Amino acid sequence: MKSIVTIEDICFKYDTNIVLEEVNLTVREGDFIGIVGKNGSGKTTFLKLLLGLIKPICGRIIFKNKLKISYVEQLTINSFVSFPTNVYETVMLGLYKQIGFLNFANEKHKAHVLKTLKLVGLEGFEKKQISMLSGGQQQRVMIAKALVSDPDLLILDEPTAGIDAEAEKNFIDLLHKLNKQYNKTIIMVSHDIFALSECNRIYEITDKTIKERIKNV
Amino acid sequence: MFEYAFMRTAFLVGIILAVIIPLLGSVLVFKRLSMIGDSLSHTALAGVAIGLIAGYNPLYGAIAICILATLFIEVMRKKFPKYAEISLAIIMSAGIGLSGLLSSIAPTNFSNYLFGSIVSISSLEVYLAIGLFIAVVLFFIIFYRELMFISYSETSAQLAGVPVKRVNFILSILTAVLVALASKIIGALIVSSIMVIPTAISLLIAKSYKTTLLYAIVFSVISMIVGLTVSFYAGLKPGGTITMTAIGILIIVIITKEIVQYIHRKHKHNHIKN
Repeated sequence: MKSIVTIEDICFKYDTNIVLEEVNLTVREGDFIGIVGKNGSGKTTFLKLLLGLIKPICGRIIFKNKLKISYVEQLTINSFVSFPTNVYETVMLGLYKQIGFLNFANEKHKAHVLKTLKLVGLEGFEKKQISMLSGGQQQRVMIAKALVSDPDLLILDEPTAGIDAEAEKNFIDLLHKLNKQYNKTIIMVSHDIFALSECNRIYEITDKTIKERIKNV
Repeated sequence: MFEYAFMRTAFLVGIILAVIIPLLGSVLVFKRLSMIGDSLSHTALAGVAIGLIAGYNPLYGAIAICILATLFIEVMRKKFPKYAEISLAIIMSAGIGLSGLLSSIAPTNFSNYLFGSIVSISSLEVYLAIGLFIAVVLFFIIFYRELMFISYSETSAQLAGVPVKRVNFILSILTAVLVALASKIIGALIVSSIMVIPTAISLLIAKSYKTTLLYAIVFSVISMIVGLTVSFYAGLKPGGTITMTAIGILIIVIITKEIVQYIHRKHKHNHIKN
């Protein structure tokens, strides 16, 4: 499998506090990688570096040419309390780049949103207000928003936090399907080891670096 | 009442403000900055005092200081991303402190700015209101999707390629000018209520982003028209009447929603029993 992201010896610090050092990782096409780590271990910093929101102070991250990345943010209880969108509007946000500045969504974009909702099991939910959905359904909407732009790499931050066991199982099955049937490369950060059961590789951020972990431990 | 030119002007400018205040206000509510109207309007008072002391049109002083304050809020919001409300509290305290201090040396009192003077609007204020209406509506048409994305999540918007800084900057400047102007017209103590209450009503019943904006404008315009009409015939202060009309609508919507939900629950319960 070809590598799509290569992380080479990156390090990062906030002021004088070193958070990550000598971090190396290769992400290959079709990988389903899980990242675990204790609170404050540097998981969020690692994600920010990977997404380009912050720059490493040493080392480099090499991406495959024209790699399309989508990010699924961690949901909190208040994520949608004062944001009154419906499912359709939220997923349509994922097509921001494709639609372009000063343009409107056309029939093709609309059909693509509906197709993506069907893929994540939310057919018929288009007009539902997102704050009225369950945590598991909200997370599926977020996945649909990320998938609608047809990314090569999907990065998820604690996607199963705050959802019940059944919704978590269904959600993991969905990620498995996306990885195996639709060949989406996935990197998922989670504190919940059960959520990482479908990953082909699991890494732990500990002692300011990243180490591969034996899967069934 | 329309035989009086001042009432015709009051309705024209009032409706203009009633459309654009909730437009900007809704985005600020979604960004959890609903107190920004309060902070800036109190700061506007300090600008008014500076304008009066310096011998300039106090509206210019209010606009200038509101722009400075809103830029400061943006900087503070970046420094303390999890405590956005701290920046608002700091600006509000500074505004109240400075205006209190300067009020004792300002050549006249600025009570007009506290409660507004919608029945004595100058032609400069009419032109400014019309110009601002065009700017805000155009801003919303051009940046509709960007504003929605930023309201949802600035990080996600940034990753999707939305020019977050540019949009936030324009939003800040428009908010500053709007609050300064609206403070003079409907009153510094009232501008924040028109910024937040129509959106709050709308959030109770709207089912999408688009309808939330539309309902907020509708409730704001209704509050303005009813408030101005009642204040004219009952001889009440317009600003307070407009706010209390909006509060009245909010209470009616809350009660109606509760009744509808109760009937719905009862109907469902009977259905299960049968």
